[in-house]
Amino acid sequence: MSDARPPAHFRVLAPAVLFAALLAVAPAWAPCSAQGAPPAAAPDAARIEQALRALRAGKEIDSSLALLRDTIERSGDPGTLARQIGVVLLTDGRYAMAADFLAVARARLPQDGNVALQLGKAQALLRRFDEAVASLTAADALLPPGPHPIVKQFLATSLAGQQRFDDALRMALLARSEAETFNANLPPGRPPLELADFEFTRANVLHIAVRFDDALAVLAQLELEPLDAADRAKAALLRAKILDARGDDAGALGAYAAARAAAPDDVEACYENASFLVRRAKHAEATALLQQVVARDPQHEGAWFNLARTLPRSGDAAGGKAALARYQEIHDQKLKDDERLTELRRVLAAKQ
Amino acid sequence: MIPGHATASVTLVLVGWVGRAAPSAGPAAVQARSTGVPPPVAAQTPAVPAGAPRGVWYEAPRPDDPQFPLVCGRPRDQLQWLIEINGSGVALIDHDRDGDLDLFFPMGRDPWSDPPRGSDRLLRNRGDGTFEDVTAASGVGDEAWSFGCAVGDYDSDGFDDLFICNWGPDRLLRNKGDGTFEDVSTQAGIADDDWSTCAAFADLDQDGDLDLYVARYFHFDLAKPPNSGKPCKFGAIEAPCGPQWEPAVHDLLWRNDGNGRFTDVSVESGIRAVRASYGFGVTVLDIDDDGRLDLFVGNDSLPNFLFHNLGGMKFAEIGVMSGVSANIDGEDQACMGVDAADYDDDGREDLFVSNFSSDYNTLYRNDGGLLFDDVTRSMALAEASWWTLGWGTKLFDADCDGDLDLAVANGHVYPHPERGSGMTFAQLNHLYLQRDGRFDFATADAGPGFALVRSSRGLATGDLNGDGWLDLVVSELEGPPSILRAVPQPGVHRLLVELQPGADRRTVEHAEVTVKATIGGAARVQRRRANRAGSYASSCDPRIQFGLGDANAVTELIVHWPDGSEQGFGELPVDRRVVIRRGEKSPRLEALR
Repeated sequence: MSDARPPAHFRVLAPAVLFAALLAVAPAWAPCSAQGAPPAAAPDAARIEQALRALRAGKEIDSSLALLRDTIERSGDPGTLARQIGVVLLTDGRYAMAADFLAVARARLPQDGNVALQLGKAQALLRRFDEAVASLTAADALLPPGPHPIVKQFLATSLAGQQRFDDALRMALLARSEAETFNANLPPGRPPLELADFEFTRANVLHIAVRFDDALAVLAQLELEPLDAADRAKAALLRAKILDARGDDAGALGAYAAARAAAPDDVEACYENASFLVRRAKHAEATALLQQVVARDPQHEGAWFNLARTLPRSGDAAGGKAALARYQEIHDQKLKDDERLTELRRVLAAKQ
Repeated sequence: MIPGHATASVTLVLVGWVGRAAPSAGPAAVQARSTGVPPPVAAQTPAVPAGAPRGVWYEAPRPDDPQFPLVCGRPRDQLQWLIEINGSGVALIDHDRDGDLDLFFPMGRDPWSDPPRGSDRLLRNRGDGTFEDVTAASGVGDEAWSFGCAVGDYDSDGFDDLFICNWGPDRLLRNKGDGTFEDVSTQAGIADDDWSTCAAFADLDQDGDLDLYVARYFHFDLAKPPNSGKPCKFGAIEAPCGPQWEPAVHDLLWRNDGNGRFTDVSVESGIRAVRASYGFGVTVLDIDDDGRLDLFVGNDSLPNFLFHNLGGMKFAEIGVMSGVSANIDGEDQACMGVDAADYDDDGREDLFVSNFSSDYNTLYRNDGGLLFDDVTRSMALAEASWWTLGWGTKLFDADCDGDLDLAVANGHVYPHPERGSGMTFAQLNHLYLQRDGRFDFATADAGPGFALVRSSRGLATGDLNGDGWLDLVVSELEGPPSILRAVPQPGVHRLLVELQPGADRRTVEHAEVTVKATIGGAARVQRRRANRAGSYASSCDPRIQFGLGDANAVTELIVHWPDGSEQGFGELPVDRRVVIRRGEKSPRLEALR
């Protein structure tokens, strides 16, 4: 499930309904501080992650919120806590919320290059490119001297998003070069960086710059190398999107199929293929793929949303209704989660 | 340790948002983002310069156009509240029935200035390209804080009336037929003290008179401002707090009782059987071609509504089910403006919404069966709108080639977004021309009218000078309105169809007209609705323009009247204003200027 949606109008603000939610959970929170419990141990990322996952699953909501709130109340280091929560959310694909928490962390830990990097990533993934470039540039300056290929990689894509294509291409090449430097001086026990990832970034920058032929050439060169299945899928999916953007429907369809064949369990390739088919009114084919998506990821909001309309057009009105109900259930839960997390962020931001 | 090594691949997540429009979108978008200060207004361009691209060309505003500033609260550097940043719209209304469209500007208010500024304005079209301010003489200079307005002949007396959406009591102004208006809000029973943004007149119960839908925002109280009066932070930017600080209020549906009074039927009609939302745009369409008019409401930050008309003034909200509540991934967007029209000429009306910045404007294709698909990416519309904050919008045939194009008025709500991002308060408005089944970004090639960089809000299309080309009027925040006149292109034909009620005076609003012609060697069928509603806070030309390209004649014209009857006409010449009075056998033809 992805909540990589762009920020809606003032979405970051707490909606009024939030206050009702707050009141509802207040009794569960109150005892934590009222009991005068001893100071908690240092913030525990695993506990935070467990609590956040419980929230997502709609289970143990009160106790999860209580745990998070309690941790915030007792933590003497709200910046670190905000970072931990932000990183968990980022890994979980909840980019908007991650960015909110990481922004709190960034304000609290202005010299922490890692926080700047994580915030920059979240902003880039949200396509808030201006903010991403600012955060990533700060990260590059704050991190210890040495190669920062991941920073450069995200910077390259963010610069492309800003339509600074020459800068973006230079940054993509620099990212690759720094990755090679990093691999040549690999710390013990660390796996090398996959250089293919940096070529994907370069192809992507060219794609965003609408240099479709150049982007496809990078992919073709890359595909001559022995790629693993995941990278083959990645290359095929990128090729599909380039061909889609170029208006080559037949080519895009073939590339989407190749992406799915290379990584049959990859939800994103399947969903993107389905989305392409929906836009071309191929509803029966889209339905089959969307059903595969929800079989693998029952929380996939976009897949349920589309199934609610493709199923009736494939003759399954009841299935459409069920999909609609499922979408609404997931969507409502997400909104509730966001409201709760927003309040947590506010508490965290206000903590002295 | 290498920072960030373990996180997800950026490559897969970020690809795919760019499309074919980007090459031409690039420089314009960059200009829009990097231009904090509006450039000088370009010199008037009386004709398309030699060598300019064929297709469409809009003049810059003329020096003798209205120069009064459109007020909406305090100046940019002093504004504090959301109510000061949403701006207001514009209505095109032939209030004196002289055949020319006049301009009405609902205007906000600045009660903090001494003396307070801002009152609604009416400008009469003299017919020679100039306008005169008749506000005082006409009696429309309401000093309430206005946002949007709807135009319609609610009392079927042959003269268009005005409904004005206010923060505070709304106003219904009856056109007395002598160039003046009277405030009949109290007599009509239109009572609403909350914050209305947009409205649409439509005969929703098919009784022959115009009912009224009013979209509303939230309850705003200056004495109890959101966030205790403090500005909100959006990243590094400080700006007025958004709507979600206050509970939304439900929209209203007023049934015209036919005796000069309206009754609130919001509850029994089903309009209130939804979560209250932040309504911003409303338009009228018939999604299933059943002859009953449906309503689409764009909401800010929350799911959009699609009210399916079940007959008998009953509605079912089917936005989520039909796929227009959110984008293709089921994610809510922050809608500002809306429009409905059959962009792909498949006989079904589609929907377009303009959205907040860092998001794309969305095109929903009507696939029948009450189901829509978000086809924004396929139509190459996603990327160019990413950096802009869209407001007023209209699907119309800008280049008169027979298919619908698209205009979007843009401008940010943050007073200084550039302090935290590369976006700017003032932005380019966008024009997209439909070519080869996609919308091409054509702003850069559309003349000096589309080179203006302002913080635009409302947008209305209409033929201001009787040449059959649709001009644009754009309302601005902190500036005079922009009148963008289309420059006729040689050898390009068109038709302007005006529908008039018959002897029974039943409304002809939202009637449809089908025109058949051979354009570019291909038989084309265009079906368009007389629809003033849509855009943001605005009201457009009620006449229907048909672009005919190189067609030498219209082979057939059919009017689909709101009562279900049809009236057909055989071959008609092009470049004519066609006036069709319901029930009369022959249309009146007048040469376009």
